[in-house]
Amino acid sequence: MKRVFFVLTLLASAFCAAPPAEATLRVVKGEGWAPISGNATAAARERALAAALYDAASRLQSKVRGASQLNTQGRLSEEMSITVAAQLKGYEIIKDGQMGSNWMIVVEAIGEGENEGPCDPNRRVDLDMRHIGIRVAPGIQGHANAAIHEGLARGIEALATGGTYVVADQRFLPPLRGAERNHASSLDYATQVSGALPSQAGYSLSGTIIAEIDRGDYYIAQKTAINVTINLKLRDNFNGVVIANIQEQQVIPGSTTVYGLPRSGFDNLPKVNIAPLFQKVQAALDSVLACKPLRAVVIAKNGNKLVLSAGLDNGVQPGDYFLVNPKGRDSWQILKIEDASAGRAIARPIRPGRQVPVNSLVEMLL
Amino acid sequence: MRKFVPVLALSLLAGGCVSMGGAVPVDAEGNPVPLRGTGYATISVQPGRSANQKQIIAIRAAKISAMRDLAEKIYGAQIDAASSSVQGRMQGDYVRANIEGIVRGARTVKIGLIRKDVYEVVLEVDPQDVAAMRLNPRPVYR
Repeated sequence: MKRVFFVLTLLASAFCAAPPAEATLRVVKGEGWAPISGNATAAARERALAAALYDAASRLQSKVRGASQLNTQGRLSEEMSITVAAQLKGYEIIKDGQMGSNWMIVVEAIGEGENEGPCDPNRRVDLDMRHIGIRVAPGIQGHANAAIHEGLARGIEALATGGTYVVADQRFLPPLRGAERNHASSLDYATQVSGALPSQAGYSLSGTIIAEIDRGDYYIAQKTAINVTINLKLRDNFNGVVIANIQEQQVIPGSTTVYGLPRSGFDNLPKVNIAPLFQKVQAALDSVLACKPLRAVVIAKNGNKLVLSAGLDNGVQPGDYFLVNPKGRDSWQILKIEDASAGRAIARPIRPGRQVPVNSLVEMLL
Repeated sequence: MRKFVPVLALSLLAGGCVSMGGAVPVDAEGNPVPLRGTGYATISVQPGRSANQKQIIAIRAAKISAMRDLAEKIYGAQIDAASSSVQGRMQGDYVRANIEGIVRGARTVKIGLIRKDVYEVVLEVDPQDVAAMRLNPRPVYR
Protein backbone atom coordinates (compact mmCIF):
# COMPACT_ATOMS: atom_id res chain seq x y z
CA MET A 1 0.00 0.00 0.00
CA LYS A 2 2.83 2.31 0.95
CA ARG A 3 4.52 1.57 -2.35
CA VAL A 4 1.35 2.42 -4.29
CA PHE A 5 1.05 5.68 -2.37
CA PHE A 6 4.70 6.47 -3.11
CA VAL A 7 4.23 5.82 -6.82
CA LEU A 8 1.06 7.95 -6.88
CA THR A 9 2.87 10.76 -5.09
CA LEU A 10 5.70 10.58 -7.62
CA LEU A 11 3.25 10.64 -10.52
CA ALA A 12 1.33 13.56 -9.02
CA SER A 13 4.52 15.54 -8.48
CA ALA A 14 5.61 14.82 -12.05
CA PHE A 15 2.29 16.04 -13.48
CA CYS A 16 2.12 19.06 -11.22
CA ALA A 17 5.70 20.19 -11.91
CA ALA A 18 5.64 23.68 -13.34
CA PRO A 19 7.74 24.43 -16.43
CA PRO A 20 10.92 26.39 -15.70
CA ALA A 21 10.09 30.06 -15.62
CA GLU A 22 12.19 32.59 -17.52
CA ALA A 23 13.58 35.49 -15.55
CA THR A 24 12.31 38.84 -16.75
CA LEU A 25 13.61 42.32 -16.05
CA ARG A 26 11.52 45.14 -14.74
CA VAL A 27 12.27 48.72 -13.68
CA VAL A 28 10.51 49.80 -10.50
CA LYS A 29 10.46 52.88 -8.30
CA GLY A 30 10.69 52.72 -4.53
CA GLU A 31 10.00 55.42 -1.97
CA GLY A 32 11.33 55.44 1.60
CA TRP A 33 10.72 57.75 4.55
CA ALA A 34 12.41 57.91 7.94
CA PRO A 35 11.91 60.34 10.85
CA ILE A 36 14.89 62.49 11.81
CA SER A 37 15.56 62.31 15.52
CA GLY A 38 17.63 65.27 16.69
CA ASN A 39 20.42 66.04 14.24
CA ALA A 40 20.97 62.44 13.13
CA THR A 41 20.20 63.06 9.47
CA ALA A 42 22.77 60.49 8.28
CA ALA A 43 21.06 57.70 10.22
CA ALA A 44 17.64 58.84 8.96
CA ARG A 45 18.93 58.86 5.40
CA GLU A 46 20.21 55.30 5.73
CA ARG A 47 16.89 54.14 7.12
CA ALA A 48 15.03 55.95 4.33
CA LEU A 49 17.24 54.28 1.71
CA ALA A 50 16.60 50.86 3.25
CA ALA A 51 12.87 51.59 3.24
CA ALA A 52 13.00 52.73 -0.40
CA LEU A 53 14.81 49.55 -1.47
CA TYR A 54 12.30 47.49 0.49
CA ASP A 55 9.49 49.33 -1.26
CA ALA A 56 11.07 48.74 -4.69
CA ALA A 57 11.56 45.04 -3.94
CA SER A 58 7.98 44.72 -2.68
CA ARG A 59 6.75 46.06 -6.01
CA LEU A 60 8.63 43.32 -7.79
CA GLN A 61 7.30 40.45 -5.77
CA SER A 62 5.47 40.13 -2.45
CA LYS A 63 4.08 37.02 -0.88
CA VAL A 64 0.84 37.99 0.81
CA ARG A 65 -0.99 36.05 3.48
CA GLY A 66 -4.09 37.22 5.27
CA ALA A 67 -6.78 35.77 7.49
CA SER A 68 -9.97 37.15 9.03
CA GLN A 69 -11.92 35.26 11.63
CA LEU A 70 -15.38 35.96 13.01
CA ASN A 71 -16.11 33.96 16.14
CA THR A 72 -19.32 33.01 17.93
CA GLN A 73 -19.36 36.22 19.94
CA GLY A 74 -19.24 38.20 16.72
CA ARG A 75 -15.67 39.37 17.35
CA LEU A 76 -13.58 39.92 14.25
CA SER A 77 -9.84 39.33 14.31
CA GLU A 78 -7.65 40.09 11.33
CA GLU A 79 -4.06 39.26 10.60
CA MET A 80 -1.97 39.81 7.51
CA SER A 81 1.65 39.62 6.51
CA ILE A 82 3.74 40.25 3.45
CA THR A 83 7.15 38.75 2.73
CA VAL A 84 9.22 40.53 0.16
CA ALA A 85 11.22 38.14 -2.00
CA ALA A 86 12.77 39.84 -5.01
CA GLN A 87 16.24 40.36 -6.34
CA LEU A 88 17.40 43.86 -7.23
CA LYS A 89 20.19 43.96 -9.79
CA GLY A 90 20.95 47.62 -9.30
CA TYR A 91 19.45 50.90 -8.20
CA GLU A 92 19.89 54.61 -8.51
CA ILE A 93 18.75 57.36 -6.17
CA ILE A 94 16.64 59.85 -8.09
CA LYS A 95 15.33 61.94 -5.18
CA ASP A 96 17.06 62.46 -1.88
CA GLY A 97 16.21 65.13 0.70
CA GLN A 98 14.55 66.35 3.83
CA MET A 99 10.78 66.70 3.82
CA GLY A 100 9.63 68.39 7.01
CA SER A 101 10.88 66.32 9.91
CA ASN A 102 11.43 63.20 7.73
CA TRP A 103 14.11 62.16 5.28
CA MET A 104 12.75 60.97 1.95
CA ILE A 105 14.50 58.93 -0.74
CA VAL A 106 13.15 57.73 -4.09
CA VAL A 107 15.09 55.04 -5.92
CA GLU A 108 14.75 53.53 -9.36
CA ALA A 109 15.81 49.90 -9.39
CA ILE A 110 16.14 47.03 -11.86
CA GLY A 111 14.82 43.78 -10.57
CA GLU A 112 14.59 40.28 -11.78
CA GLY A 113 11.41 38.34 -11.31
CA GLU A 114 10.01 35.14 -12.64
CA ASN A 115 7.58 35.30 -15.46
CA GLU A 116 4.89 32.78 -14.66
CA GLY A 117 2.43 34.24 -17.08
CA PRO A 118 2.00 33.44 -20.74
CA CYS A 119 4.84 34.35 -23.04
CA ASP A 120 4.04 37.29 -25.26
CA PRO A 121 2.96 35.76 -28.60
CA ASN A 122 3.86 38.97 -30.44
CA ARG A 123 7.55 38.90 -29.57
CA ARG A 124 9.64 36.89 -31.98
CA VAL A 125 13.37 36.39 -31.80
CA ASP A 126 15.64 36.29 -34.86
CA LEU A 127 16.66 32.83 -36.05
CA ASP A 128 19.33 32.41 -38.75
CA MET A 129 19.19 29.10 -40.61
CA ARG A 130 22.83 28.36 -41.35
CA HIS A 131 24.46 25.44 -43.16
CA ILE A 132 22.65 22.13 -42.72
CA GLY A 133 24.65 19.29 -44.29
CA ILE A 134 22.99 16.18 -45.74
CA ARG A 135 24.79 12.84 -45.52
CA VAL A 136 23.15 9.94 -47.31
CA ALA A 137 24.38 6.37 -46.85
CA PRO A 138 25.52 4.47 -49.96
CA GLY A 139 22.75 2.28 -51.29
CA ILE A 140 19.95 4.75 -50.80
CA GLN A 141 18.34 5.26 -54.12
CA GLY A 142 18.60 8.52 -55.97
CA HIS A 143 14.93 9.41 -55.61
CA ALA A 144 15.19 9.10 -51.79
CA ASN A 145 18.32 11.26 -51.84
CA ALA A 146 16.53 13.92 -53.87
CA ALA A 147 13.46 13.74 -51.62
CA ILE A 148 15.59 14.41 -48.53
CA HIS A 149 17.16 17.49 -50.18
CA GLU A 150 13.74 18.75 -51.21
CA GLY A 151 12.39 17.93 -47.74
CA LEU A 152 15.01 20.18 -46.16
CA ALA A 153 13.99 23.14 -48.34
CA ARG A 154 10.31 22.51 -47.56
CA GLY A 155 11.11 22.04 -43.88
CA ILE A 156 12.81 25.45 -43.72
CA GLU A 157 9.73 26.99 -45.33
CA ALA A 158 7.56 25.27 -42.74
CA LEU A 159 9.80 26.52 -39.93
CA ALA A 160 9.43 30.07 -41.25
CA THR A 161 5.75 29.90 -40.32
CA GLY A 162 6.70 29.39 -36.65
CA GLY A 163 5.19 31.93 -34.31
CA THR A 164 8.07 32.42 -31.88
CA TYR A 165 10.87 33.37 -34.24
CA VAL A 166 11.65 35.15 -37.50
CA VAL A 167 13.62 32.88 -39.85
CA ALA A 168 16.38 34.20 -42.12
CA ASP A 169 17.40 31.55 -44.65
CA GLN A 170 21.21 31.68 -44.74
CA ARG A 171 21.89 28.00 -45.46
CA PHE A 172 24.49 28.87 -48.05
CA LEU A 173 26.62 30.45 -45.31
CA PRO A 174 28.72 28.48 -42.78
CA PRO A 175 27.56 27.91 -39.19
CA LEU A 176 27.98 30.92 -36.93
CA ARG A 177 30.87 30.86 -34.48
CA GLY A 178 29.60 33.18 -31.81
CA ALA A 179 31.70 36.24 -32.61
CA GLU A 180 28.88 38.01 -34.40
CA ARG A 181 28.67 40.82 -31.87
CA ASN A 182 32.11 41.93 -33.08
CA HIS A 183 30.91 41.92 -36.66
CA ALA A 184 33.37 39.11 -37.47
CA SER A 185 30.78 37.25 -39.51
CA SER A 186 29.50 40.42 -41.09
CA LEU A 187 32.92 40.88 -42.63
CA ASP A 188 33.05 37.36 -44.09
CA TYR A 189 33.44 37.38 -47.85
CA ALA A 190 30.32 35.27 -48.48
CA THR A 191 28.28 37.43 -46.11
CA GLN A 192 29.42 40.59 -47.82
CA VAL A 193 28.68 39.23 -51.28
CA SER A 194 25.26 37.85 -50.38
CA GLY A 195 24.28 40.68 -48.07
CA ALA A 196 22.93 38.16 -45.55
CA LEU A 197 24.01 39.67 -42.25
CA PRO A 198 23.76 37.49 -39.17
CA SER A 199 21.47 38.76 -36.42
CA GLN A 200 23.85 39.66 -33.61
CA ALA A 201 21.26 39.46 -30.87
CA GLY A 202 19.42 36.46 -32.27
CA TYR A 203 20.03 32.74 -32.55
CA SER A 204 21.25 30.43 -35.30
CA LEU A 205 20.54 26.85 -36.25
CA SER A 206 22.96 24.55 -38.05
CA GLY A 207 23.74 20.86 -38.20
CA THR A 208 23.31 17.73 -40.30
CA ILE A 209 20.68 15.39 -41.67
CA ILE A 210 21.84 11.78 -41.86
CA ALA A 211 19.95 9.14 -43.85
CA GLU A 212 20.86 5.50 -43.26
CA ILE A 213 19.46 2.13 -44.32
CA ASP A 214 18.15 -0.22 -41.69
CA ARG A 215 18.03 -3.77 -43.07
CA GLY A 216 16.30 -6.73 -41.44
CA ASP A 217 16.33 -10.35 -42.67
CA TYR A 218 13.41 -12.56 -41.61
CA TYR A 219 13.76 -16.14 -43.03
CA ILE A 220 12.31 -15.65 -46.48
CA ALA A 221 11.67 -11.90 -46.37
CA GLN A 222 14.06 -8.96 -46.28
CA LYS A 223 12.78 -5.62 -45.05
CA THR A 224 14.55 -2.32 -45.38
CA ALA A 225 13.79 1.05 -43.85
CA ILE A 226 15.36 4.49 -44.17
CA ASN A 227 16.32 6.11 -40.85
CA VAL A 228 16.53 9.88 -41.13
CA THR A 229 18.16 11.64 -38.18
CA ILE A 230 18.43 15.40 -37.84
CA ASN A 231 21.03 16.87 -35.46
CA LEU A 232 20.82 20.61 -34.99
CA LYS A 233 22.64 23.00 -32.72
CA LEU A 234 20.80 26.12 -31.59
CA ARG A 235 23.37 28.77 -30.85
CA ASP A 236 23.13 32.17 -29.18
CA ASN A 237 24.73 34.50 -31.73
CA PHE A 238 25.76 37.09 -29.15
CA ASN A 239 27.98 34.89 -27.02
CA GLY A 240 28.34 31.75 -29.11
CA VAL A 241 26.85 29.46 -26.46
CA VAL A 242 24.97 26.40 -27.72
CA ILE A 243 21.65 26.70 -25.91
CA ALA A 244 20.01 23.54 -27.25
CA ASN A 245 20.86 20.37 -29.14
CA ILE A 246 17.88 19.23 -31.16
CA GLN A 247 17.94 15.61 -32.29
CA GLU A 248 14.93 14.04 -33.96
CA GLN A 249 14.54 10.78 -35.87
CA GLN A 250 12.08 9.44 -38.40
CA VAL A 251 11.86 5.89 -39.74
CA ILE A 252 10.53 5.59 -43.29
CA PRO A 253 9.47 2.04 -44.24
CA GLY A 254 11.37 0.87 -47.30
CA SER A 255 11.06 -2.12 -49.59
CA THR A 256 10.15 -5.68 -48.71
CA THR A 257 11.46 -8.59 -50.80
CA VAL A 258 10.56 -12.27 -50.61
CA TYR A 259 13.25 -14.70 -51.77
CA GLY A 260 14.97 -11.65 -53.22
CA LEU A 261 11.97 -10.72 -55.35
CA PRO A 262 9.84 -7.61 -54.85
CA ARG A 263 6.60 -8.34 -52.99
CA SER A 264 4.68 -6.48 -55.62
CA GLY A 265 5.83 -5.49 -59.00
CA PHE A 266 5.28 -1.75 -58.74
CA ASP A 267 5.09 0.26 -55.51
CA ASN A 268 8.39 -0.95 -54.15
CA LEU A 269 9.94 2.50 -54.03
CA PRO A 270 9.46 4.04 -50.56
CA LYS A 271 7.96 7.52 -50.45
CA VAL A 272 10.38 9.67 -48.52
CA ASN A 273 8.67 12.59 -46.79
CA ILE A 274 10.57 14.21 -43.94
CA ALA A 275 7.94 16.87 -43.16
CA PRO A 276 7.04 15.16 -39.82
CA LEU A 277 10.68 15.51 -38.80
CA PHE A 278 10.51 19.28 -39.20
CA GLN A 279 7.24 19.44 -37.27
CA LYS A 280 9.15 17.92 -34.34
CA VAL A 281 11.98 20.42 -34.85
CA GLN A 282 9.46 23.26 -34.88
CA ALA A 283 7.95 22.07 -31.60
CA ALA A 284 11.43 21.79 -30.04
CA LEU A 285 12.34 25.31 -31.22
CA ASP A 286 9.07 26.71 -29.88
CA SER A 287 9.71 25.20 -26.45
CA VAL A 288 13.20 26.75 -26.31
CA LEU A 289 12.55 30.15 -27.89
CA ALA A 290 8.95 30.96 -26.93
CA CYS A 291 9.77 32.66 -23.63
CA LYS A 292 13.20 34.07 -24.46
CA PRO A 293 13.40 37.79 -23.79
CA LEU A 294 13.51 39.83 -26.96
CA ARG A 295 17.00 41.22 -27.48
CA ALA A 296 18.50 43.59 -30.01
CA VAL A 297 21.80 45.32 -30.69
CA VAL A 298 22.41 49.03 -31.18
CA ILE A 299 23.65 49.05 -34.76
CA ALA A 300 23.97 52.79 -35.35
CA LYS A 301 23.83 56.06 -33.49
CA ASN A 302 22.86 59.47 -34.75
CA GLY A 303 22.94 62.11 -32.04
CA ASN A 304 20.35 61.09 -29.47
CA LYS A 305 18.70 58.55 -31.77
CA LEU A 306 19.73 54.90 -31.74
CA VAL A 307 18.97 52.27 -34.37
CA LEU A 308 18.13 48.85 -32.96
CA SER A 309 18.40 45.56 -34.85
CA ALA A 310 14.80 44.50 -34.09
CA GLY A 311 11.61 45.88 -35.56
CA LEU A 312 7.94 45.28 -36.28
CA ASP A 313 8.66 41.71 -37.47
CA ASN A 314 9.98 40.95 -34.01
CA GLY A 315 6.94 42.49 -32.33
CA VAL A 316 8.57 45.79 -31.38
CA GLN A 317 6.08 48.66 -31.27
CA PRO A 318 6.55 52.40 -30.74
CA GLY A 319 6.26 53.05 -27.01
CA ASP A 320 8.06 49.85 -25.96
CA TYR A 321 11.00 50.05 -23.58
CA PHE A 322 14.42 48.41 -23.79
CA LEU A 323 17.08 48.14 -21.13
CA VAL A 324 20.75 48.65 -21.96
CA ASN A 325 23.60 46.93 -20.11
CA PRO A 326 21.57 45.23 -17.43
CA LYS A 327 24.71 43.92 -15.76
CA GLY A 328 26.17 47.17 -14.52
CA ARG A 329 25.01 48.67 -11.24
CA ASP A 330 24.93 52.27 -12.38
CA SER A 331 25.58 51.95 -16.09
CA TRP A 332 22.10 51.07 -17.22
CA GLN A 333 19.97 53.11 -19.52
CA ILE A 334 16.39 52.79 -20.69
CA LEU A 335 15.44 53.29 -24.34
CA LYS A 336 12.00 54.22 -25.57
CA ILE A 337 11.03 53.13 -29.06
CA GLU A 338 9.91 56.09 -31.16
CA ASP A 339 9.52 54.48 -34.57
CA ALA A 340 9.81 51.00 -36.03
CA SER A 341 10.12 49.48 -39.48
CA ALA A 342 10.06 45.79 -40.46
CA GLY A 343 13.50 44.92 -39.11
CA ARG A 344 14.73 48.07 -37.37
CA ALA A 345 13.57 50.42 -34.64
CA ILE A 346 14.54 53.94 -33.65
CA ALA A 347 14.97 54.46 -29.93
CA ARG A 348 15.79 57.38 -27.66
CA PRO A 349 17.47 57.18 -24.23
CA ILE A 350 15.18 58.49 -21.50
CA ARG A 351 17.67 58.81 -18.65
CA PRO A 352 20.00 61.80 -18.88
CA GLY A 353 23.75 61.42 -18.93
CA ARG A 354 24.08 57.73 -19.82
CA GLN A 355 25.79 57.20 -23.17
CA VAL A 356 24.90 54.07 -25.13
CA PRO A 357 27.73 52.85 -27.39
CA VAL A 358 27.10 51.10 -30.70
CA ASN A 359 27.03 47.27 -30.40
CA SER A 360 25.40 47.43 -26.95
CA LEU A 361 23.01 44.59 -26.21
CA VAL A 362 19.53 45.73 -25.24
CA GLU A 363 16.67 43.70 -23.80
CA MET A 364 12.97 44.45 -23.97
CA LEU A 365 11.36 45.34 -20.67
CA LEU A 366 7.98 44.13 -19.48
CA MET B 1 -15.77 8.15 20.89
CA ARG B 2 -19.45 7.70 21.86
CA LYS B 3 -19.00 10.48 24.40
CA PHE B 4 -18.46 12.98 21.65
CA VAL B 5 -21.35 11.86 19.50
CA PRO B 6 -24.08 13.82 21.36
CA VAL B 7 -21.85 16.88 21.51
CA LEU B 8 -21.39 16.74 17.77
CA ALA B 9 -25.06 16.08 17.18
CA LEU B 10 -25.09 18.45 14.34
CA SER B 11 -21.97 19.76 12.81
CA LEU B 12 -21.78 21.60 9.60
CA LEU B 13 -18.55 22.34 7.88
CA ALA B 14 -18.55 24.41 4.80
CA GLY B 15 -15.58 25.18 2.64
CA GLY B 16 -15.57 27.39 -0.40
CA CYS B 17 -13.44 29.50 -2.58
CA VAL B 18 -14.35 32.92 -3.86
CA SER B 19 -12.91 33.54 -7.29
CA MET B 20 -12.77 36.83 -9.10
CA GLY B 21 -13.89 35.63 -12.51
CA GLY B 22 -12.15 36.61 -15.77
CA ALA B 23 -8.41 36.81 -16.27
CA VAL B 24 -8.12 40.52 -17.08
CA PRO B 25 -9.99 43.26 -15.16
CA VAL B 26 -12.13 45.32 -17.55
CA ASP B 27 -14.30 48.40 -17.32
CA ALA B 28 -17.96 48.67 -18.36
CA GLU B 29 -16.96 48.99 -22.01
CA GLY B 30 -14.70 45.95 -21.88
CA ASN B 31 -11.38 47.84 -21.93
CA PRO B 32 -8.62 46.41 -19.69
CA VAL B 33 -8.12 48.52 -16.57
CA PRO B 34 -5.61 48.33 -13.70
CA LEU B 35 -6.72 46.52 -10.58
CA ARG B 36 -6.74 48.63 -7.41
CA GLY B 37 -6.40 47.60 -3.79
CA THR B 38 -7.05 49.90 -0.84
CA GLY B 39 -5.79 49.61 2.72
CA TYR B 40 -6.30 51.65 5.88
CA ALA B 41 -4.38 51.96 9.14
CA THR B 42 -4.83 54.03 12.29
CA ILE B 43 -1.84 56.12 13.35
CA SER B 44 -2.43 56.28 17.09
CA VAL B 45 -2.40 52.53 17.65
CA GLN B 46 0.97 52.02 15.97
CA PRO B 47 4.11 51.28 17.99
CA GLY B 48 6.73 54.01 17.92
CA ARG B 49 8.28 56.66 20.11
CA SER B 50 7.49 59.75 18.09
CA ALA B 51 4.50 60.89 16.08
CA ASN B 52 6.64 60.79 12.90
CA GLN B 53 7.58 57.18 13.50
CA LYS B 54 3.95 56.18 14.14
CA GLN B 55 2.93 57.94 10.94
CA ILE B 56 5.51 56.04 8.87
CA ILE B 57 4.57 52.71 10.46
CA ALA B 58 0.89 53.45 9.80
CA ILE B 59 1.67 53.97 6.11
CA ARG B 60 3.48 50.62 6.09
CA ALA B 61 0.51 48.92 7.80
CA ALA B 62 -1.94 50.48 5.34
CA LYS B 63 0.25 49.24 2.49
CA ILE B 64 0.15 45.68 3.84
CA SER B 65 -3.62 45.94 4.09
CA ALA B 66 -3.81 47.19 0.49
CA MET B 67 -1.59 44.30 -0.63
CA ARG B 68 -3.99 41.90 1.06
CA ASP B 69 -6.89 43.55 -0.72
CA LEU B 70 -5.08 43.13 -4.05
CA ALA B 71 -4.22 39.48 -3.34
CA GLU B 72 -7.88 38.82 -2.50
CA LYS B 73 -9.01 40.46 -5.74
CA ILE B 74 -6.46 38.55 -7.81
CA TYR B 75 -6.61 35.08 -6.27
CA GLY B 76 -9.87 35.12 -4.33
CA ALA B 77 -10.33 33.98 -0.74
CA GLN B 78 -10.76 30.60 0.84
CA ILE B 79 -13.79 30.75 3.14
CA ASP B 80 -14.16 28.16 5.87
CA ALA B 81 -17.22 28.25 8.06
CA ALA B 82 -18.35 25.89 10.81
CA SER B 83 -21.48 25.88 12.91
CA SER B 84 -22.48 23.39 15.54
CA SER B 85 -25.60 22.83 17.60
CA VAL B 86 -26.51 20.37 20.31
CA GLN B 87 -30.11 19.19 20.45
CA GLY B 88 -31.17 22.02 18.24
CA ARG B 89 -29.39 24.65 20.30
CA MET B 90 -26.67 26.68 18.63
CA GLN B 91 -23.28 26.13 20.22
CA GLY B 92 -20.64 27.58 17.99
CA ASP B 93 -20.45 29.54 14.78
CA TYR B 94 -17.34 30.85 13.10
CA VAL B 95 -16.28 32.10 9.70
CA ARG B 96 -12.66 32.29 8.54
CA ALA B 97 -11.35 33.85 5.35
CA ASN B 98 -7.83 32.97 4.18
CA ILE B 99 -5.95 34.77 1.47
CA GLU B 100 -2.64 33.65 -0.03
CA GLY B 101 -0.85 34.83 -3.10
CA ILE B 102 2.15 36.40 -4.73
CA VAL B 103 1.59 39.96 -5.91
CA ARG B 104 3.89 41.34 -8.57
CA GLY B 105 4.22 44.78 -10.06
CA ALA B 106 2.07 46.64 -7.53
CA ARG B 107 2.69 50.37 -7.51
CA THR B 108 1.51 52.99 -5.05
CA VAL B 109 -1.10 55.33 -6.51
CA LYS B 110 -2.12 57.24 -3.41
CA ILE B 111 -1.00 57.70 0.18
CA GLY B 112 -3.08 60.12 2.22
CA LEU B 113 -4.86 60.95 5.42
CA ILE B 114 -8.58 60.37 5.12
CA ARG B 115 -9.29 61.44 8.69
CA LYS B 116 -7.08 62.94 11.36
CA ASP B 117 -5.85 59.55 12.48
CA VAL B 118 -6.34 57.20 9.50
CA TYR B 119 -4.02 56.66 6.57
CA GLU B 120 -5.25 55.33 3.26
CA VAL B 121 -2.97 53.64 0.72
CA VAL B 122 -4.10 52.71 -2.79
CA LEU B 123 -2.04 50.23 -4.82
CA GLU B 124 -2.49 49.38 -8.48
CA VAL B 125 -1.48 46.45 -10.72
CA ASP B 126 -1.50 46.52 -14.53
CA PRO B 127 -4.12 44.30 -16.23
CA GLN B 128 -1.52 42.16 -18.02
CA ASP B 129 0.20 41.47 -14.67
CA VAL B 130 -3.15 40.49 -13.17
CA ALA B 131 -3.74 38.08 -16.05
CA ALA B 132 -0.27 36.56 -15.56
CA MET B 133 -0.83 36.11 -11.81
CA ARG B 134 -4.29 34.62 -12.28
CA LEU B 135 -2.90 32.05 -14.70
CA ASN B 136 -0.90 30.70 -11.78
CA PRO B 137 -3.77 30.21 -9.34
CA ARG B 138 -1.78 28.29 -6.77
CA PRO B 139 0.98 30.54 -5.46
CA VAL B 140 4.30 28.81 -4.97
CA TYR B 141 6.12 29.56 -1.73
CA ARG B 142 9.81 28.83 -1.72
